[in-house]
Amino acid sequence: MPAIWEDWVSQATRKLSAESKATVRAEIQAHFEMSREAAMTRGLDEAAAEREALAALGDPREANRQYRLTLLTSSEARVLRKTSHEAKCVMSNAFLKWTLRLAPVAIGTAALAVLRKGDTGLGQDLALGAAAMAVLLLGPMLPVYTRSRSLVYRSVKWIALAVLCLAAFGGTNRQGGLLAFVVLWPVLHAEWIRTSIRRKLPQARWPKQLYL
Amino acid sequence: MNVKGTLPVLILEAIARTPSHGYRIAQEIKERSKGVLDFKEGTLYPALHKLESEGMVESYEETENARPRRYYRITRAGRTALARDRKEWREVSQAVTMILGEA
Repeated sequence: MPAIWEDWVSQATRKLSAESKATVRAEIQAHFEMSREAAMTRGLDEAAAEREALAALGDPREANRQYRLTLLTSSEARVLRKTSHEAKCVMSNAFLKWTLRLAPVAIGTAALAVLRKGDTGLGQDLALGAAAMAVLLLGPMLPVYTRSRSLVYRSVKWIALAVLCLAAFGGTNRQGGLLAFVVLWPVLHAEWIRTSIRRKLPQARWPKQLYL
Repeated sequence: MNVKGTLPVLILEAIARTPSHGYRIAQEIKERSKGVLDFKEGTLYPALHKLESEGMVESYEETENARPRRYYRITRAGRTALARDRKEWREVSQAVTMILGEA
C-alpha cells in the first residue's frame, strides 16, 4: 500500500487496541482499493486515483476520534484482559473460590455472635461488611448473564459499596466523605472504563466479568 | 451537506433492500442523494461499528472478485429503528416545509 495510505491509517488508528487496529486497516484498505480502482476506471492515473481515494476518506484525526468512540482503545483492551485474567485466576483456584464464598458467611456469623453479646456498633459494622462482601465476592457465581440482570446486580453492588464506605469512613463529615471518595476512586475509574467497553463490545462478546 | 447525525439512518436505508459492503454503501448514499449528501468516507465505518454493537446491523465475510469483503445486513431491530426514523423524519420535514414554505 502507498506511503500516504499508511500515514492516514496510522493517524486514524492512534491509541486503538491491536485488534481494533487490524479491523480498521482491513476495512480501510478494502475501501481504498475499491475507491482507487473506480477512479482509475474513470481515466485517472494511479497517483491521482490514490490521492482522490485518500481525499474521499477525509481527515484521519476525525476518523480516529470516531473510531475511539466505537472500537476498543488500547487502555480498554488492557482493562478487559486484566479483568478476565483476574476472574480466571480466582475461579480456577478451588481454595480461593471457597474462601471467597465462605468469607461473607463467616463474617456474618461473627456479626450475629457479636450482636448477641450486646456490642451493637461492632455487630452492625460486621453485618454491613458481610453483606457488602457477599454482593462483591459472590457476583461471579451468580447467574448474571443478561443486560437486565447485570443492571440490577451493578445497582445493588454500587449501593452496597457506597453504604460500606460511608459507614467505614463516616460520610457525615467532610473528611470522611473525602476519604470514602478516595477509596472508591480506583473502583469508579475502572467502572467508567468497563461502561465504555460494554457500550462498544457486542453483548455476544462480553466476558462474564463485564456483566458484574 | 453535513450528514453528521443522520449517517446511521442513511446507512440503514442503504442496506434495507440488500446487504452491502462499506464502499458500496457510501456510493449509494451519494448517488441516491444526487451528490448532495457528501460525507467523508472514513467516518462511515465507525458508524457501521456503532450500528453493529447496537444490534442494528450484522456483518459477515464474503468474497468478491477473489477478495474478502465485509458485508453488512440490516437486522430486525434495525428495520424497526429505520421505520421509526422514517416516520419521525417525515413529520419533521413536513413541519419545516410548512414554516419555510411560507417564507
